[in-house]
Amino acid sequence: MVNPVLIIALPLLIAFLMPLFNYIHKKLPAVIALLTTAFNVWIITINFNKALFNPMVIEIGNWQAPFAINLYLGPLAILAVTVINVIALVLSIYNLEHDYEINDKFYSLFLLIVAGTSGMVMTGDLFNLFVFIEISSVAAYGLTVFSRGDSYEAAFKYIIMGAIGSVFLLMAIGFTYASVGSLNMAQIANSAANLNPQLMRIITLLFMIGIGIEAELFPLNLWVPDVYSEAPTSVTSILSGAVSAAGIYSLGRIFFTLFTDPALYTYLMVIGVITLVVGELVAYNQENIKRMLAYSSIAQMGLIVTIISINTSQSISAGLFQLVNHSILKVLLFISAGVLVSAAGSKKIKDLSGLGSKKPVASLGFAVGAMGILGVPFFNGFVSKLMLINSSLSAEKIIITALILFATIVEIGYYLKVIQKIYFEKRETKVFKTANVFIPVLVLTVFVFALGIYPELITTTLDRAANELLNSTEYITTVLGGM
Amino acid sequence: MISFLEEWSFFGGSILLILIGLYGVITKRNLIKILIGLSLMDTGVNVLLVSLGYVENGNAPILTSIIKNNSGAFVDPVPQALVLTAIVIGIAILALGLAVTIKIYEKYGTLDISKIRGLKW
Repeated sequence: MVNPVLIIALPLLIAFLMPLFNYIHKKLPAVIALLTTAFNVWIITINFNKALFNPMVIEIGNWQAPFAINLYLGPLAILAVTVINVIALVLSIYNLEHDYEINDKFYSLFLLIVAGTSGMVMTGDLFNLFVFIEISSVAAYGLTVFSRGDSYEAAFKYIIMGAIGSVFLLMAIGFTYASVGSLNMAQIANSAANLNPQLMRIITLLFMIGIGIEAELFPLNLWVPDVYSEAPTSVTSILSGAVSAAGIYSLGRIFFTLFTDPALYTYLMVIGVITLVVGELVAYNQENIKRMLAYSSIAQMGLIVTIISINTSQSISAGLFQLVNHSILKVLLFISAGVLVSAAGSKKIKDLSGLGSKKPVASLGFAVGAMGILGVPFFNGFVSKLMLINSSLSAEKIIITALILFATIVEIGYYLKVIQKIYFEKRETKVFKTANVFIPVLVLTVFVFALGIYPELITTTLDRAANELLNSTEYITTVLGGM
Repeated sequence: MISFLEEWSFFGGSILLILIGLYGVITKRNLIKILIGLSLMDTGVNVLLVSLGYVENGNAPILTSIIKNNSGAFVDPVPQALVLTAIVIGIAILALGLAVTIKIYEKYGTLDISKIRGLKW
């Protein structure tokens, strides 16, 4: 057995050794980054079944749980960490060939994001959560400016929003510590029932502001379209596929394991619905393809938060499935759109006309991603959308069902507009040379169809993860060891 | 009345500091002033954290041979450790923000956000 703490520790170590590798050979950092993420995926595969059926508590420094920091690798964490690291692996393959200038510092920051987001989902300590969120967001600020151009403004906006969020997160952690007297998540969950409900609401709202920045929730997602449209493709992909997924995971941890007050789910649902509606409506009017995908990503996050806040085991597993699918599909869409954009030399949707025959792989990747998001049968989005509708109907939330269907109609409008441009129009202007994205697109397409045709691959994991979120007592006893 | 003021000047003062910083970030148009507001918010939250762990007449949480009577009255060491980390993170973010500000200034020759395309929110 390999200790899962290496999932965090190894990228962190390699990230700071990158200048050394670069000194040995200019091509080495890309290969080392690929090997590191591949090693992470390997550790996860050998620990997967163990974590799924027998949650692991890793005590750092061999101190018992409430006194020292511990990592927790249960069904939910292993699901999130798998998604994050598989996406990081695919993007490392993509990074071997790229359309923009990157150097060893890029790979350092890329591995820091991997370490930070993996830490966010594995940690069992609130302050550690803050540190990991800061690691991944500081790395993301740095990565945003790699494409030069307008990216400095986007990065500045992101820094301001992120820093305000971190202040609120720190306030929430301070109040939690002052009222419970511990930073260990299991300890907090154990004594949260004795808290003053008024104080608990204030604390959770502060957490929602702090983590909502990462999870792209409504009033705090002003940075998303700018950063997504200006940052390099692989940065956009990891932000959309891994960082926001880790944000949703942390929200779930705080709202379901730590503070379980049914009144809080109403806030979560209101915020989710607003995020969904605003995201879809703004996405429909975008002329820039990357901004369109960014708003679509916001809308999907809103959808996931809405469905999770229904708070039944069916709806939580549907929401988590949608989260996994969204990560796969958005990375596919962003990689393909990145190639199409550099082939056309413009980010405007109207300039992408006729690229279907010139760039077959990227166009096909975009089409597969769009079909997946829309929920066409045999694509993974179909299964999760069916689960979403099913769970909202069985919880008797007809309005949510109507909203999901409405959102799908709007999505059909803006995704098919792009596909129509790519495939059914003639191209007059010239096509630029671009990187080859055959392998990443192939891998992601295989995932899309595997989950679409054979969803049993993941349903056990989803059910166990939903069960973990709904039963916080199991989490508490596993970590504290019946104390 | 005095003890009430003493107790609440920590919390009230630090939350006031955070709000002043937030006001600065939202209303100022100069990039440097926005970053100063951010720094104020950071300081405010750090003061808040330290004051949450304050114990009346408490000593520094260090075991020494000089302070003999350190049996009961310690201030809580955990928030101080947290603040130490938070200060470092805050400084790092501030430095990154200033570096980006330099780049924006090189590009546009101004620090006024209303004149910089792409920074209007």
